[in-house]
Amino acid sequence: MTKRVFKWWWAWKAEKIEEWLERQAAGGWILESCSLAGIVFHFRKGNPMQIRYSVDYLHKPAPDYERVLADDGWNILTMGGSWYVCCKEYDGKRPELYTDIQSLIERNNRLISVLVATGMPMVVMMPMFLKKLESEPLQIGLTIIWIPIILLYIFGMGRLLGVHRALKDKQNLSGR
Amino acid sequence: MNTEELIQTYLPMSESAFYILLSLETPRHGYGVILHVEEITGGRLRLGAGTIYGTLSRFEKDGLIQPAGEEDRRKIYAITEAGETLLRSEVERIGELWENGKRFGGDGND
Repeated sequence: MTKRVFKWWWAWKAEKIEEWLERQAAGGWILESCSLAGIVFHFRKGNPMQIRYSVDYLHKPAPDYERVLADDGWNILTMGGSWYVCCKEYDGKRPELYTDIQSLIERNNRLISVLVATGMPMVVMMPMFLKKLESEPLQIGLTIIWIPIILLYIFGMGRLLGVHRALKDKQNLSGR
Repeated sequence: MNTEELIQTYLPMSESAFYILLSLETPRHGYGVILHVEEITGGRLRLGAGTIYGTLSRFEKDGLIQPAGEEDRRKIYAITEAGETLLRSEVERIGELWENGKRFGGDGND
């Protein structure tokens, strides 16, 4: 038996989707693959399993990354683009992909840079595009759609920058 | 980066960074480093695979380690001279901590 679930998630709150996937596995629904840029999840029904899922983003595919993760027992599924969901069955202590603060800061920085790269053109181009429109109702309509997107973008950046600050504080406290 | 810049950037080292660099006194691949660190810390420190990949990439970029061949399609790394210098500075710093810890009663014998 298989099922396909559409599930929206935010890059700055990846732990939510990780925990949701883990609960699915505990209920016997094992993630097989992802599609539609990582928001449609394909599951296969099996025995309940304890699986740690960890969402990761790399700027470009890296065979060395895949190799060291595979050696350490992680299975890597591509979510789309350079997004990955890494899965590892466990018993006892919940495994972590990143175990030090510096690597978590670097991972967070990758997320910030991808958000800047994808979001900035939208933020900058949209007002220019709106200005050029001749129909006023269309201008107003698109502005109404655009404003929540911008607010969400600002919120997401704020979240990631907040995580960055918290990690830096922790790093300073630990003498690093 | 020259030695001064490396020391400024890396010291004091995190426990993970220190053990990863120390492990490469003998050439190893990423997973080999995870196993070695786990073994020499008596199972206390199990480094995450993402941490290993990220740290090795950063160390290689900064010239602390270099590729030293391949084994079953796994890249082997070894510490460089710059890495050795950094490691020595860190061991000296830790030695000072330890000495002062003992001298001023931080070992609980006071």
